[in-house]
Amino acid sequence: MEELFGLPTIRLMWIVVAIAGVAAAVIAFIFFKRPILVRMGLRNIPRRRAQTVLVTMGLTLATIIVTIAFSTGDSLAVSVRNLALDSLERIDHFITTEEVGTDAESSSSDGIPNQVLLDLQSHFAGDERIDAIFGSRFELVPIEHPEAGQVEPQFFLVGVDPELADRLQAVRDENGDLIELSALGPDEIVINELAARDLDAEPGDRVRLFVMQSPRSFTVAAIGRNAVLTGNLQAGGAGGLLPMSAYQELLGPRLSPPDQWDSILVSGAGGVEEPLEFSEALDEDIDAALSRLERMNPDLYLSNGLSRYATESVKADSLRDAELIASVFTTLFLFMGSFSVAAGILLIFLIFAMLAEERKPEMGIARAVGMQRNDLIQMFISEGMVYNMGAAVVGVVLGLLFAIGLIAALNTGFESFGFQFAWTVTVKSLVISACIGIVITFITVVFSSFRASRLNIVAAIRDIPEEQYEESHPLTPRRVLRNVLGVFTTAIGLVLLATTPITLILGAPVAFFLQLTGRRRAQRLIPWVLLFGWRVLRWNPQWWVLFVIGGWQLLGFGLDQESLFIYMMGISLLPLGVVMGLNRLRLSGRRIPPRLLYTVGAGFVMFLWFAPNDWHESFFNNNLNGGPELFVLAGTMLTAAGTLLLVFNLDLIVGGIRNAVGGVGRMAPVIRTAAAYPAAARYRTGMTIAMIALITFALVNFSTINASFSRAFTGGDTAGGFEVLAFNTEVNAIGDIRAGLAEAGANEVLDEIEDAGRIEAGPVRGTRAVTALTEAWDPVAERHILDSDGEIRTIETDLAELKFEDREAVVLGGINDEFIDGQEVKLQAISYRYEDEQAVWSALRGGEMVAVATVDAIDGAFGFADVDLEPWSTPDSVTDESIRLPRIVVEVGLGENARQVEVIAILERVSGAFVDLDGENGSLPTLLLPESIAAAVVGPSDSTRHYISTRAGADTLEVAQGIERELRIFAVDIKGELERQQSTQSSILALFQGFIGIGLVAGLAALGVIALRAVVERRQQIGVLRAIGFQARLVGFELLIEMGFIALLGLGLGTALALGLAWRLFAEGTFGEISMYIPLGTILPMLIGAFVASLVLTYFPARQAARTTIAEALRYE
Amino acid sequence: MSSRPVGIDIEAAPQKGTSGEVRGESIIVADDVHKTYAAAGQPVHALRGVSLSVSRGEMVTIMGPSGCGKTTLLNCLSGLETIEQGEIFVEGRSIHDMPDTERTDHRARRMGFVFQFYNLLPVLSAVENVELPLLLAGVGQRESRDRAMLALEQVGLADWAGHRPAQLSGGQRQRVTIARALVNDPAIVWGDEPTGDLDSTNAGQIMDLLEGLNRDNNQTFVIVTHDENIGRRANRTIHMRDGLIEGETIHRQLGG
Ligand SMILES: Nc1ncnc2c1ncn2[C@@H]1O[C@H](COP(=O)(O)OP(=O)(O)OP(=O)(O)O)[C@@H](O)[C@H]1O
Ligand SMILES: [Mg+2]
Repeated sequence: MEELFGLPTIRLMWIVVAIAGVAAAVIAFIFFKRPILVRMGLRNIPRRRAQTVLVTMGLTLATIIVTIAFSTGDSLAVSVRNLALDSLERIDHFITTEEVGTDAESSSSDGIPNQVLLDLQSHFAGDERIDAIFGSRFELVPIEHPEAGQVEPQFFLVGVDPELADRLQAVRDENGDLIELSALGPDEIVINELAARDLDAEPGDRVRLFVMQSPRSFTVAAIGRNAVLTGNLQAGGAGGLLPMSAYQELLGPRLSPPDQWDSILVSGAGGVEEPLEFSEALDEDIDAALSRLERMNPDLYLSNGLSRYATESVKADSLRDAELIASVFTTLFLFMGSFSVAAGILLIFLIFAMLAEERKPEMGIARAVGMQRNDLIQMFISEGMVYNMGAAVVGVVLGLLFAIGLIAALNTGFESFGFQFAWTVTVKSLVISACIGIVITFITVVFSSFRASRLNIVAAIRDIPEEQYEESHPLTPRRVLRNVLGVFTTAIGLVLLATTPITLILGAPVAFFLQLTGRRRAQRLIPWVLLFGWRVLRWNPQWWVLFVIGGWQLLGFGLDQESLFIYMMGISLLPLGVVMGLNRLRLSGRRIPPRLLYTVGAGFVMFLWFAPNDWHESFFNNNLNGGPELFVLAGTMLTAAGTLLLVFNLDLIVGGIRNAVGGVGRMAPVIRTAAAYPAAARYRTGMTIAMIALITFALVNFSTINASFSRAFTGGDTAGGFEVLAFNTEVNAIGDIRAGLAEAGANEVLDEIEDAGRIEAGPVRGTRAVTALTEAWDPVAERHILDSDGEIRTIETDLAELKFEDREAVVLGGINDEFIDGQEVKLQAISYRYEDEQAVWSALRGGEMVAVATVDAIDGAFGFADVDLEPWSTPDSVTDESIRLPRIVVEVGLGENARQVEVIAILERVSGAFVDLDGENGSLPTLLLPESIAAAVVGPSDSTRHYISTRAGADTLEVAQGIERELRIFAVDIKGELERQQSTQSSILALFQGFIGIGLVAGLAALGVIALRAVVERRQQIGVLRAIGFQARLVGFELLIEMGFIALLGLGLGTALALGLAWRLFAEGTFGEISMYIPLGTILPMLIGAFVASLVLTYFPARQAARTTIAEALRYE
Repeated sequence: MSSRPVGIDIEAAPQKGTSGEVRGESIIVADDVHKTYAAAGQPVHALRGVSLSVSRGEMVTIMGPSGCGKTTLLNCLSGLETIEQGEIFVEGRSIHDMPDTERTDHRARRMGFVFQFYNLLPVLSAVENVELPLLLAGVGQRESRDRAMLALEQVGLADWAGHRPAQLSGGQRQRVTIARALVNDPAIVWGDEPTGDLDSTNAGQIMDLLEGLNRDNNQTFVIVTHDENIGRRANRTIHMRDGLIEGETIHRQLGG
């Protein structure tokens, strides 16, 4: 990979190396200055093995995620790059036709005249950068391997000049060895690997090609590598190659006119990769040459004023695409992995808090005898950094292993495409991953160390809860003032410092980083970053001040930039900061109850996230835009708020549960204690809940949104009521499928067909809307329009907006009666002039001048009639019966072929997707109309599709295969195809889910950590409980219930928040008409699995607790 | 209040307990008890053949220098600790022959404990701590709460029922512990330096409380202490030295 986030990866590498270097410098400094502190820190590591493993695990997460992301990116980059190089081999540029206007007659799918080739050849004669400019032909020709009984209707046959191909060494077999085309006999053919696989053919086998139903036998001479020249022209494309003379002879002058080429190819000099160096310049030269030729011979080059010839540097473009795909994937993985990274960070915080608690008495004594807080921090940092270094190595190794597994899994998903990813990783990526891991962990360790070392000496020695220490430092109005003033004086101090070298030291790395990333805007954040760092260095960060001021700044900045992300970050931090500040406020010794504060604050943040974007926009009267990065922020903020809400109301929840189940006899005391402990230890309970909730949020949200999409696009509706779809080609046009089958004597297939629907499609340029009115068109400035209540209203419009004079290209699809019989298409809106769907279809059946249109025809961008003006807009669903279509009349075609038809209904977007006739024509809107009318406008169609509905109980796969076998046209059974797509999709999704789920490890580890800690710190309490009559197994059981309870809270919170947010997004219409679908089949097993895993993990500490010997536990140390 | 009165009985000390238990019969009998710890490879003979007998309704204190094995003896007698040799009968049953669950159950129903520290669960309120043994014994929630409140009343802490241990003073905490030890109307109450952490006034008050309970309820008290004043308030003091019983002082005859 060369680029990520628009940043060259090499630069990214140096940046992270530099920051990791700073971390290393800090450690080195501590080590040389105070080796004793390092030794004291390290002493702790071997003391607690389980602890060490858990810490390392938490620290590893970030590295694992980043490593997976980068090495997957590398693998994709290299694989796709190799695929492109293998496939294009010696081809560097294509000469293609480029549209210049749409305002004319229907385009001809004619080839490129030979004269163009000759012109280019003579123009570039002697150019050293070019080895050859040559023409090629290709056509879809059905092929059969009779011995194996295999038919492949979708076979791209390519014809090239054999001598030229040999000279260029352009055709190779799967081992990369040259295939000599000039050595092929008159009836020999080269087929590609995919074709060989599909046909089950080997060299020496006889195959038959069918042109206009008549077969011709060839011997397979060699199996060529899947490449453009061997007919691999589309994903999964089987194909083959014939020498030009044989190709011509097979297809004949009608299908392959001798003075025309299907494409002109340019082969750069030197080899496969060498031409890339000058391909950009060459591309410009070819384009310039074409422009010159255009001016000299406009008749030839601009035949109909519609299109011109242009060049496309396919190889360079493909390699750029490879890069893009790789960086998109890396970004996607980093984005999905950020939840796990966050959970890993929380785990480190939690573990350090536990470590600090465990060592509190000894740290208190150390402080009492004169150790500085700074020393404690350094001790923790050195301890943490040892874990960190270990974790970086382990993380990279684990990440690479995961990536290998991931690529293997991806490969099974891509198997049917005949494409395999090769696992690769670059040194650069390894360095970046390791350094990012180290940096993230270093920052976390530093923060955790600050927090861990903050202790009141007396409280520590006497082992009094830290909260009581906080109590003794309430925030009086004077303190508030001092804090705020403190921030400003710090700011002023910083300004003063700006002239001193200290700013350089503090600010240089930040400024350097911002400079490198080229974020000029962000540079104004430097003072805030510095301020933040400064406050941290002052050891007593007033988080609430930072949150309030920072939140306020971000809020303004976000509104200013119209960035929803920054805005939401600000507006979420602000209330949290206010609440944190108020919590420390004391007015004549009285405080606001924390429960009230945090409930209100957290509730407000949740409200902000569940409120639709419109609400925010209208509240601030501002535009706000965001992308998928918002999910990460939403997850973080919602989880934080939700956790606060839970934690500060735990006693209520616990009380409720106790009232509900408390009466269960002997379990009462167990439930009571199990509920009391988590409520008493808010910090660790909260951290653990947050970790589990965060990952659950990501998993549930991701699954729900994806399931909703995949259901919408691969659900049964998309088939429009048909079971089998078959495609005509130019070489093999079947007019009437029933007649064809009858002729072939395939009655068993014929009998299974209920309706043989057909769409004969053809592109039509120059379609324009004539009217889009209810009744009359007032050319002045008024138009009558149907409002959402079905009332006709008159509104003023700006005529200039209505581009009715513009002619657009559309696809016309002529449908036969059997299509109407067989379809179960949903209509999204029906003209007010028609009663119901029945009326619409019978108008079409009656051959009236009417049409139904796809949504794009009406909707904005592609529409020829943009009637999406207020107050009428495309309705969301058919169920909204009051919404009717106004009268829209369009003129299709030009000249004598032109007809005026009325659009009387709109296909629902999802169920209309199956019509998708525009495959070769880009994204064109489609009109379906009676066959006779379409034929009159388009003329004979060369692209006919058969929409077949089968009898109930028929084996649709067999019908499709029967059609392929008998008629040699490509046929798919749609349901089966959709199912295959769904299963590929869901296995890839499962992969992603697994990736996101890595973070659950952190949540579970957290449970393990607090369970282990509980066993240790409650030893005496367990002793007392056992003494007064708690059975041993109840003690273990109590811990299980306790941890299970925390796990449930986390899982429940995450699920609720994810579904809540998904609901908001779907309700808001973020995903268009797609409706929300909760995949319980995915979510429930996930939740249950996580819950069971948490119990299994707690089982060991619980067993340990149960085995506590009473007398020893009671022996006070 | 319909529930069974806890702790102090209103009537003057009867010779008969609640369920036909006769004051004066042997409730605890230990015979040649040995206990060895292996600390740092060096075996420590904490008990080296202790034999004793305690009568029902008796208040016995155990005294002796630090490390002589007082806590160990108490733990062995109450079944918290295993023994290598000898036998211990509590209420006529060999406590070390019982399976752990039964022994635990026996503790829950028949014994109360007051230790020097770590008596209460910090996460539960005073009254919740007190009612724990009742809930363990399967008494219903409401009745448990009523009886726990009554017990707290008797130790003078009814107003502190909702407080967490951390919010109570050391003396108050010990009184809550006593309320918990007595709430299930146990036959034997074990105390390991129950007043060790308290000043003499507080210690005196606690002893008054225990004495009253012992007198009125026919409950047996075995208390380890360092405090001569407390030792004297018992019926009998057992003196220990180096894991052996050195002798005993009778302060008052039982029932006298
Ligand atoms: N779990 C144990 N492991 C090793 N040795 C032990 C253990 N428990 C007690 N001991 C040893 O047994 C001996 C008796 O201890 P015990 O706690 O019974 O003394 P004590 O009389 O209660 O002392 P104190 O008055 O100080 O509480 C001591 O020497 C002690 O070191
Ligand atoms: Mg002792």
